[in-house]
Amino acid sequence: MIELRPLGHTDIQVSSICLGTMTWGEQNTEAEAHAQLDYATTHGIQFIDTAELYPVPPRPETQGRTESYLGSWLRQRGHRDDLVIATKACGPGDWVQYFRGGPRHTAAYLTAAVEDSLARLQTDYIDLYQLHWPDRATNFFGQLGYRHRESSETPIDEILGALDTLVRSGKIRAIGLSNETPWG
Amino acid sequence: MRFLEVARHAQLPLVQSIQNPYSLLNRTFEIGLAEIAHRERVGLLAYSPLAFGVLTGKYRHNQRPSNARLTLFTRFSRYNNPEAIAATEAYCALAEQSGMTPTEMALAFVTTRPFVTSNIIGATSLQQLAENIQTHSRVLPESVLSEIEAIHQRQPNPAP
Repeated sequence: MIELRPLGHTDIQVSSICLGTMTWGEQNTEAEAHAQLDYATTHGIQFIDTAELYPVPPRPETQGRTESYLGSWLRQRGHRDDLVIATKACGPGDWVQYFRGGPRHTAAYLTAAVEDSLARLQTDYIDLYQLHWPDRATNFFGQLGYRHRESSETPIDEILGALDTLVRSGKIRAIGLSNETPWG
Repeated sequence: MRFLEVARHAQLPLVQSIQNPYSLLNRTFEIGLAEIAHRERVGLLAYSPLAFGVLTGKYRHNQRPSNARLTLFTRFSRYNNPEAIAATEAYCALAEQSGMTPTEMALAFVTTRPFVTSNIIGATSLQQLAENIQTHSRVLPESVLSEIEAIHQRQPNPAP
């Protein structure tokens, strides 16, 4: 059996291997995605990670396919509670302006992003909701040589307030960061 | 971590995980974040543990297998610079000398780090998926871990 480990301070346990999904809808078809899910879940994996951004490379024409492929499998399979589903909200960037007029981690953006992910995933809750990259100018995606740049950023208390509302509504169970620095 | 500070101050939800890149070619997480991950229980969900497949060895000696990510999408140069290629060669050779595939060694290294909560694998075929999953129980011997450290010292984080 694959080891289960606690997710932070929560009572959620996740398999020490997580199934990544970002090729589904670009390098893999829906049938191939479902075959991967069947194989992984019968071999002890119960933790699956996706994102509203996927598949990669991100393009407006394919956006959302990965979550949709996972969603069609979840609906067919049932037993949703046996699985831990993680997804992510995009961060800001010129290259992702096709998301709702440009992603930010505001209450309005995150609330709409969660609704859209839930619809594609055909489920009523997300176990782990992550911020894909920070809503501020900093170094990530391999960038070196830090230089401080003033940028418009959503205040962290506002971001956490929005996520708190989503947790209280039962739509997400836990929150996480991604492509973050020690400051964030 | 500001997210934890603000959450505690305002009684808002704590972040429970951080999903960052982590592999033999990019151990930058260890510098500033591993201690936070451990002390604050914000475990690492490690992405690109095979550095876009580079650490499987399939691109060694300038091979470009068809249907492989770096063949199809040349924009992903993050894992494919000369320093990363040299380090990859050293890690692949070490794995083979130690009776493992490069994939096995690279994935087992990530899964067994104490600050890692889960290792996010990706596959485009069921064969790759099976190979990735079966590494879950692999423990690396001390001798292999110290050789990994020696390569890391010579060529730290070539693909950040």
